[in-house]
Amino acid sequence: MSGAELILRLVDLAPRSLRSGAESVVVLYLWIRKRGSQAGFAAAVSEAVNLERLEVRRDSGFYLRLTPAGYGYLQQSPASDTPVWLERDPAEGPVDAPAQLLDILKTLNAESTRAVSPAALKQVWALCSFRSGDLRHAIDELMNRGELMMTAAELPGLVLTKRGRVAAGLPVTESSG
Amino acid sequence: MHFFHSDPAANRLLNLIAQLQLRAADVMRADALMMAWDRYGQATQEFSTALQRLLDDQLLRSSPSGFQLRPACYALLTDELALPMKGELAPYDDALRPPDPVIRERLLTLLITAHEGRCSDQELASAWRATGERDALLRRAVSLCQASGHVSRARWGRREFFATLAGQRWIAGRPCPQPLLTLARQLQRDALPPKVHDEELTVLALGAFNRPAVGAKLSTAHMTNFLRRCGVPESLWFHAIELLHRAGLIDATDKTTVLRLTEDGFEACKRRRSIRARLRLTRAVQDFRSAASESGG
Repeated sequence: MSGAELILRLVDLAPRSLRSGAESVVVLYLWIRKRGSQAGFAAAVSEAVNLERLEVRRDSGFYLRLTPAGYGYLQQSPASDTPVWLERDPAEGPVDAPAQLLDILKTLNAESTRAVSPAALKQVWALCSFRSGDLRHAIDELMNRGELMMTAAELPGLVLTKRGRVAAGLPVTESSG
Repeated sequence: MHFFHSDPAANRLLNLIAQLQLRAADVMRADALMMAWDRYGQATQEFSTALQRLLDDQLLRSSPSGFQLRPACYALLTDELALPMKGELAPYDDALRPPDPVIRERLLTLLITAHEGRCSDQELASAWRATGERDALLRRAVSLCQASGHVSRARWGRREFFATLAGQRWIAGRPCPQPLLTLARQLQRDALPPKVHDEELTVLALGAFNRPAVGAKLSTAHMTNFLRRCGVPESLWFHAIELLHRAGLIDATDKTTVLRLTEDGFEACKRRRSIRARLRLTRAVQDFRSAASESGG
């Protein structure tokens, strides 16, 4: 599957209303889960945009939205192996929510220290088939441990602190909080 | 709301569809769309007219299992120039989240009316989304119904969900009246209930009527106290009361706090004294008590 086609399928998979499109960070998370790294993401977005199947929108953050041509393309060639959230079996038992949140932020912050909006984090959490109540507990726990903080930027977001990056096994940079 | 269509009903339906989280391959089932239409308080009789109008205008495509958006409809709904209009479809309010019996009923209805009574994950998620409800509520509905044995998942071939016989019996029972829905909101808990058989819970709950007679009345406080003494976790209290009502064993009076034993309920109380019923009852109480002591409750 080409990068452009994968991007279209991931945008379609990410939770979104038809009008808003999907938050790019959510699509990025799915991309990393599928491809193992962030490499090729920007090029794939650019290719899909050039094919006029995708548009990038700037609202309160970056959003990726299918164009009508992209929407029609996906209808004509549905994927057979698209993962869905229901695949998590309740019999798997309770999750270690703080560890799972740390793992998600590690994935998203591996190559940057950009904050993740609470809305995007909630969507990623849901895609992983975890309960939303556990997310609140995980955020509280990591904040209490001093591993996570809310940024004071124009758009609020959550970002790992230096201690959090160490706990996640990520390199500590000068810009880390 | 936005202005997508000159026909008011068709426009409302398009605004409703625009709020759904639809994927390109998703098929919207007519009954699920109808539930969403009702949920937003729209006049039921206008639904068919609006749907037909969208089909006639080549905005929706009909398929054996439902309807799909055509790319032209997607273009219309994502058009940045669509004019905003006065008036809103009711926005999602968490306080108005449907209580557990409603989402349980919604899930079982979708499964029972599905093709061959079975749904894959994707079909179920797609049908649920078309009702306008959030994915998180589907997860809760599935967990609730799996715990009560109303829904199961085939472990062979395509792992599809289906309504079990217990689920079919539950949905065929008497629907939950308004007083009980009010009670459901008061008694339901976020914690998921443990697995339990409907029959055992029914027989157990009937024990609250210690002097059974047709028309005997009981307050819900008395019933919940009795269930607590039996070790039944709080997450099952409303389910127990509703099971009695579904099976026609009790009536819920206008006051939510009063439950009245029916003639069938009285007969069931008499059968409850049989040795077999008492054995089941003892086992159910033991199960609840040991589960409570294991969880430190």
